Amino acid sequence: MTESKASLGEHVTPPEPKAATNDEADRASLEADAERRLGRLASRVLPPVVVISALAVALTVSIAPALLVLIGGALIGTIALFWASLRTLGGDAPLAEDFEALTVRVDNRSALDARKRSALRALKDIQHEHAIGKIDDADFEVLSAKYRTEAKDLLRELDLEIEPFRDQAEALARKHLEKAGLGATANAAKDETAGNASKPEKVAGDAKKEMATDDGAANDGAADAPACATCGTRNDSDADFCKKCGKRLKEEKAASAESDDA
Amino acid sequence: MWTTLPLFGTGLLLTVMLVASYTFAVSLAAHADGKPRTLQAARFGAYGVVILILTTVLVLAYAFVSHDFRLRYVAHYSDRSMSTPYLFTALWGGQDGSLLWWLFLLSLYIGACVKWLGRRFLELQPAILATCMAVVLFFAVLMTFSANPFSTSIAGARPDGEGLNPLLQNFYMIIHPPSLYIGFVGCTIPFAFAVAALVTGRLDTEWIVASRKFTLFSWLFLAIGNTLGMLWAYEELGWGGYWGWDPVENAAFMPLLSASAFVHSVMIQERRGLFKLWNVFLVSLTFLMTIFGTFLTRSGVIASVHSFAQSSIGNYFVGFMVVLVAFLMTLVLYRWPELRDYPKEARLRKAAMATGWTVVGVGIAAGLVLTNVPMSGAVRAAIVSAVAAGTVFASVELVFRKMTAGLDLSHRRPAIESLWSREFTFVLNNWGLLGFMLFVLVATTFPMISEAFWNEKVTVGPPYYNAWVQPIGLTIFSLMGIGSLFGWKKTSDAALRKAFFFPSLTFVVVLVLHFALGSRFGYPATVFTDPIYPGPLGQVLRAFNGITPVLGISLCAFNAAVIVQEFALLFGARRKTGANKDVPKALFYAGFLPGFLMTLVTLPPPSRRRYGGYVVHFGITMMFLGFTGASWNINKETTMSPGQTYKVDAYDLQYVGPRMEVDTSKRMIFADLRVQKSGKDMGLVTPAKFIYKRRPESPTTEVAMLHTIADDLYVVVGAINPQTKVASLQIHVNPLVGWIWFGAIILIFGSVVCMWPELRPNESRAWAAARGVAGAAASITLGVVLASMPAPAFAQSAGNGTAGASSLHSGTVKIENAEERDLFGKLRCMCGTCPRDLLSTCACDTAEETRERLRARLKAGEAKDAIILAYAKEYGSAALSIPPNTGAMRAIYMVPVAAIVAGAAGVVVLMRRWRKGEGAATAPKGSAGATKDAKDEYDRRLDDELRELDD
Repeated sequence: MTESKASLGEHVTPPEPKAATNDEADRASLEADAERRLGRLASRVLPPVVVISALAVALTVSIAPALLVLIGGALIGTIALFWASLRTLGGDAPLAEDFEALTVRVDNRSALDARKRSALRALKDIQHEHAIGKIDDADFEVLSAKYRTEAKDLLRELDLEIEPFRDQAEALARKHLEKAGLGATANAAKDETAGNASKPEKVAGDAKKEMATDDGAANDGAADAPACATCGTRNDSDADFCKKCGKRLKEEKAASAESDDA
Repeated sequence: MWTTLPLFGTGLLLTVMLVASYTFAVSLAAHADGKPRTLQAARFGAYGVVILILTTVLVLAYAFVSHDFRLRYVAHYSDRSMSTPYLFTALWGGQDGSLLWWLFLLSLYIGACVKWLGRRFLELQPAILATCMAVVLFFAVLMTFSANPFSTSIAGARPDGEGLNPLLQNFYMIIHPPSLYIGFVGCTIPFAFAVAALVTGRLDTEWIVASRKFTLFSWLFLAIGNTLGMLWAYEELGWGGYWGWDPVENAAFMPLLSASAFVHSVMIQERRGLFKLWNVFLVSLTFLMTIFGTFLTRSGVIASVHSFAQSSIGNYFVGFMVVLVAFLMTLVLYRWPELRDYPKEARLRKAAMATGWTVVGVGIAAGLVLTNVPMSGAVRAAIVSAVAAGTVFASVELVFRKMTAGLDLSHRRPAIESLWSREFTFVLNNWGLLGFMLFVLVATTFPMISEAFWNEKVTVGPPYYNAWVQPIGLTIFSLMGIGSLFGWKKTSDAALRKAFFFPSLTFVVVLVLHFALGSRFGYPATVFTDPIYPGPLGQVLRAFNGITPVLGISLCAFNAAVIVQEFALLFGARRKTGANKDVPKALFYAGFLPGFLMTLVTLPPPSRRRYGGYVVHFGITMMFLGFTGASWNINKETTMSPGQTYKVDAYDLQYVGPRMEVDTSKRMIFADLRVQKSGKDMGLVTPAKFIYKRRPESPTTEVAMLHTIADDLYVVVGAINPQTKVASLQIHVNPLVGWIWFGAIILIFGSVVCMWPELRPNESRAWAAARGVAGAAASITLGVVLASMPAPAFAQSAGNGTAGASSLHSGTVKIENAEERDLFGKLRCMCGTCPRDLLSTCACDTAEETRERLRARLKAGEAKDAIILAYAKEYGSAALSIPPNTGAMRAIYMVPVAAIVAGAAGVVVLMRRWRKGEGAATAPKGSAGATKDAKDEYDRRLDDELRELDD
């Protein structure tokens, strides 16, 4: 249940930390990473340390000073949390990577979605009631047909509704890929022997094809992604298996490397 | 050693206020700007508030451990002799501490909720956090200004404290609430989700699905808390029963009823998008009931009729509730279009708000005028009804219609297929549960109402409730079984007949058997008692209460048959589809239960909740069996010399003699009784009197019990004469009581099945099971431990001998025969310090004197009714345990009965409306037939989605 709801916080294209163009950005990103690490460390280390020291004090001295240790630890925790809160609010602290990629405002598509869910729920209910004999065959036919029609109508409506967004998404992806394409061109220029596509248009075309196979998710490394020998799907550069057909990619690579050697 | 500790504690409370305000503001900002960054800041703030509240609790714990008697609270509830665990239990032993404990539990819930929310429900999150912070803020303000556990004694530090001393008569007011707090406090979280849904306008099923686990968890703990309360009353209070309809108990019971209604009605919204407004109302009502319950029990407002001083925290609660209701009302009216599926027009929002507030404004103004004009009760009631009806009509016609002129108000509300469906039976269930809640609410608050409106003090005692709740309770109980027989959407006629056949047959067979054989086994089918009122109403109630035993038992059989049949249908269907193969057969061979459990937890989530719900119903059925047993309770009083034998029901009790033991703090005098049941030796029972050195004048009573499946033998020793060794004993035989506790265990188990975690993608089944077991075990253990922590507190209070003032636990109630019991049960102790205690249970000196006085009059041959009348004349109608059935006092049952009838009328209206839509909803659309044959791309997608649908 929760997984599909999680899509409410839809992922917009994650702003991947790009290769730094100048030192300042590089340093800022390093600092942000360091701060995130510090935060993680503090949240994982402080509580057990405080509890263990309190236990140690309780066992060796008495319960009252152990409580003081806990109070001290809790106060430090409170201060740390409000420090984090204020810095986050002020924009000084980095957000967690996955959180940064989210947006709180979500297009309110929930009305249609909710209707679709309840139609699906209804179909499931009807199936169950039919299975345990509360609805007879004749009623089942009628009800099932009714809700199937309703659900399908809703699916259609939903498709229509996201149609303009699909174009938008494609446009965005194209724009993004043009940038990536430029990078790819640069790479290609550096290493022409790789035989990578050098024309941005072709890269965009490939990526579009890939988008169709992968629910519109743009892939950053599209340009130098290895294609599967079996089905031709483009995969991430570090992929071991094809995401479409599941065939091993690395072996092919290794095999081809071996044959080259030979 | 820490000179500024009181100041530090108060400072922490103020800081909680401050940081909760900060987090509240940041949450609002996050809602307004929609940036993840602001939300993250609010989340950090919420965690900070949680840790800070924990710090505050730790500081109070430190004050207890270090015996800082400068703090009034510490001095009042602890002393130097108390061991550390007892010192910790003293944290919530009194009012101020228990409010802090409430805040602490709330903070745990908030912490868990924020953690669980994580990256989900991003749009709801800010409003959820803001709502939680507002509640924290209220409690922080309340504590800082009115019930500060860190306030110091004016006289300075004392050398020693008073000990955990629930000096007051109502010590179990201290015992009950903490065990219920987990359930109570938990209701805040679903409420926060509902407010978030209202604020954001996302009123579809999202918030319901999101808050489901929290709702079930709170519901479970409300149920556990109520059962623990019963258990405590039964084991410790020594009057032979488990439920006295005390305001404290009622306050705990009401949220359970409204929460039960809520967990059912949300299912309709999930399925049909109906009842959006109703569900928001129910969850808000449940939350309000928890606050109202705390108000009732903590402010002493009900006790005020017993001439107690009102505590100032009552005003804060009233203020909070007023603000809450006004806020919710405005929000609901603003969201009227979304809630009622109207077009989302700004004009409609304005019209709804203007109409609602006009009604409230005129109502308040009229109320103020009416209360200040002297007139008789009946005239006042008539005018109130006329003004209310007139205002609503005029507001709707003049304000709403005018403001919405020209708007298209045709709505697209979904219809249901058939009245013969689970949807409709759930409506009936809601009607019953809320009717019951309203009945309890009116009766509980009636002393307050009658004092305010008619300046007449009354007492509403257990006999009143016992007479009225039986019809209501059994109606709901029968609806529980009937509802389960219907399927979602529509139940085919033949299937319905088939479904009803076996349970109805069971019902009839048990009914006939009970009539035929009941008396032979000591459980007669009908038990008639004296009517509570003279006249026809009293006779009607008496007639119903008379047949309650047979009806109760037969309905238990009916409900059990329904549940067995439902499971049989499930297993049959699973065998057909081969789904049974998923569960290893060996588990079924190993005593069936493991296989049954495995099947339950591996069902897909909606089915798991459904069948887990049936297990809960089964637990409730067992509990009802136990409740029905009370009809055959046997209460006997006797005095025995050593060697004498006394026969009660199947039990033979032989009084062996008194025995004394002494330890450092007390003398314990036991009356040893050898018990035989139907000739079989059952061992010794040893009721006792404990005489504490610190309070020799008020010995405590220790109950002795013998539990069996059929009944409990419950023995209390009144007094033992040291010279003659003659013991006066009260002996109760309580049939079927054990089934209540057993049913509660089944209920807990069923709730755990409902809450079993869903399988996450990329998670193995074994891991999910392990997670479920660990999660369920940990949360239940934690909950039960937290809930039963007051136990040592109580043991301590009895242990150090300071519970003497608790008339419920100490002293002796001497009742010589059934006639006396009946008379004393109808009159209240009027000593002025025992709230609501009846002469039949109160053990204070005044009660003893009064009983002696009345006993003499009875012996002189005076009629019971005449004695009651004379007593009422002497002390006023507050001295009667049942409010008189005259004049305005009739409002106590007229109001709930009228509301229940009005509710029934509402159900009929809904039924007619649904019936109208029924044809349209079931008629297949033209396209339905066409699409059936030709499968297209969408059919494939639909099948895929159906396979993946798991919640």
